[in-house]
Amino acid sequence: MNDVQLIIGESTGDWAAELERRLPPSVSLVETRSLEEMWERLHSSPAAAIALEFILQRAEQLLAALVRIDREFPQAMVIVLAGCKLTSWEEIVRESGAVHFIASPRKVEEVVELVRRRSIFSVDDRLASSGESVSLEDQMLASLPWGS
Amino acid sequence: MRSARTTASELLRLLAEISTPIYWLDEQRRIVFINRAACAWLGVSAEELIGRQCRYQSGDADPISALADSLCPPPEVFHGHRASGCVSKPTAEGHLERRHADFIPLPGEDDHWVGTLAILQATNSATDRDSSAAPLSGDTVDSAPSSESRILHELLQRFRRESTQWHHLDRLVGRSAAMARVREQIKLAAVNNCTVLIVGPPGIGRQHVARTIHAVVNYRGDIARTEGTLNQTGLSVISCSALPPDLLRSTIGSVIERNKMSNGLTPATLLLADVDRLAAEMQPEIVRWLDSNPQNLRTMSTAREPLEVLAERGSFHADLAQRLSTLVIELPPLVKRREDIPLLAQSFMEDLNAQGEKQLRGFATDAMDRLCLYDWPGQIDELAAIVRQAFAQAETFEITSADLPKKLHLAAEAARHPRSTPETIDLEKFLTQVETELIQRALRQSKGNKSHAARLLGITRPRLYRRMVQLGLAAGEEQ
Repeated sequence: MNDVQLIIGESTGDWAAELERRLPPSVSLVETRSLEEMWERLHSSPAAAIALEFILQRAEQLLAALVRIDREFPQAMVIVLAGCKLTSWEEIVRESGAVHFIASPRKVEEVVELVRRRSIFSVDDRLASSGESVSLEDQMLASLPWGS
Repeated sequence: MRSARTTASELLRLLAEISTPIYWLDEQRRIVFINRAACAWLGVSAEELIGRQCRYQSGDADPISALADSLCPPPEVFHGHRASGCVSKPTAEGHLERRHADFIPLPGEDDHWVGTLAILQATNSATDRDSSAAPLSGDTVDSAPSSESRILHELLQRFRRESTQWHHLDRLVGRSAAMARVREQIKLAAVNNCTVLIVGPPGIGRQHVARTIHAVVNYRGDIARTEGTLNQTGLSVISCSALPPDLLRSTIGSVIERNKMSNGLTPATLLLADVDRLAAEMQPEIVRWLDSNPQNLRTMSTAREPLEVLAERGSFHADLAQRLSTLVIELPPLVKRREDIPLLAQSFMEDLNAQGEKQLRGFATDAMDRLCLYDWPGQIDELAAIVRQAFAQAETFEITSADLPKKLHLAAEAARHPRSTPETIDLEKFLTQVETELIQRALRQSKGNKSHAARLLGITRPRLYRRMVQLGLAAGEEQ
């Protein structure tokens, strides 16, 4: 129930390895190594959660990708993962559509928490915005207390 | 012997006539001199720029102020450090054209900084042209010789310029009375710093409306024909559904801190997205913050339903509902304004025409009929996605019904043949499923402690255990 897909876009696989150990089983993790690969995945799961690594050398490309996600995949949720020296980019990253900016690999738990919340709201959102049919059972289960 | 005045005026004449573009800022960062070559490149007269103050900030006011800001040296120059960088001017296409510049701080007799001389490269280098003319659309940053902060500053400028264009009021298409009202309310919201609540179903474009208000604020001069607005700020979107309370708190805190650093001269805009999903524990905190709001941050929020309706139902803090709802903009679902569908669909298609080689004229009549008959549960976002999909599919000069997805055809068929047999539900099975789920959640919430879980469920521990056995949840456990 309430399965969420998390697409990770990063160059090394470090964040993915860390997240894989901590994410609940209801979250399926997809690793991508390029923006092209990420677009492909996103086309098949337009409401996915995305964790995108921010690198200074590719800042412009990544900001353009955030703007495109915001416009073409409005149901997706983007979390930007950056190194601790890149905190000054938080403002523009958030303005470009990211829901959260994490500037330390030590804060991996924040990604887990955001994805967990995403799974709680996903049925409600699917029902309201995607046009998919959601069963009565799912609707009622989504309204129960204490999260998923 | 010639007088000092004559020498100075000759020097000025020489500086004015040299082919290298130069300009001079005084200690207040005001432009006190700019030569002909610089004016020619910028496309303005010296009189328009002289006396204007340069501010190192990213935003758009009236075009001449924006141009003066784009000439501002990096702030280290004001601390006496010589620096190199780029200055930019907007092109007719809305991009930025840049030139390399050397900034020389000039100390007076007592080492007090009295001004800055800026010397621009006489012509564009290939490197400058490459990255300057490109919109924010995928080219890599040319980092040398710029510092990281310079790159950030330039990208922020370009991002905000493009965002303002994308969210221009004219792009909110729709001929329904509801949309005409929305456009009027946006203008009203832009000239009043009151709280604005944007209400509508997910996918209807609530954030787009918020960003449009922000764009109208930044371009207030265009709308009201007034000049000199100082609202040149970013829009901080805080997702109340995505962020847990501690992250919400820290994120709002960091927006306030950033705003403090701008000395409160250019208050930011805070958008509380999905505020109807704000955790109950956070709601009184937001009331307190709104009551103080020392920096006068403009606050907008989005919700699926009017907050005052939620407050009446007891599911939202009444004070917060009232404070956030000074101006309520309601975006009706598409099904209630079908007359807007053709314009919206055409507008999305023309956006796609603008992006690439493929050019389509519009929609065939049968395709448009299908679009207008569909109920659009995913609202405008769903319509935009389907137009993108059909655009990619189309093989002629227009989108036909064959290019549209099957669900639109099924919806049209269903409208012709309404379902005759009602959907059934197996009550026993369903109640068992709900009970199982609730018990599992209670156990997770109480970290496996059955007494605590029983309390959460309002039943006794023995009864919880009996139900767990009956539902097959107690395998391998002893009471």
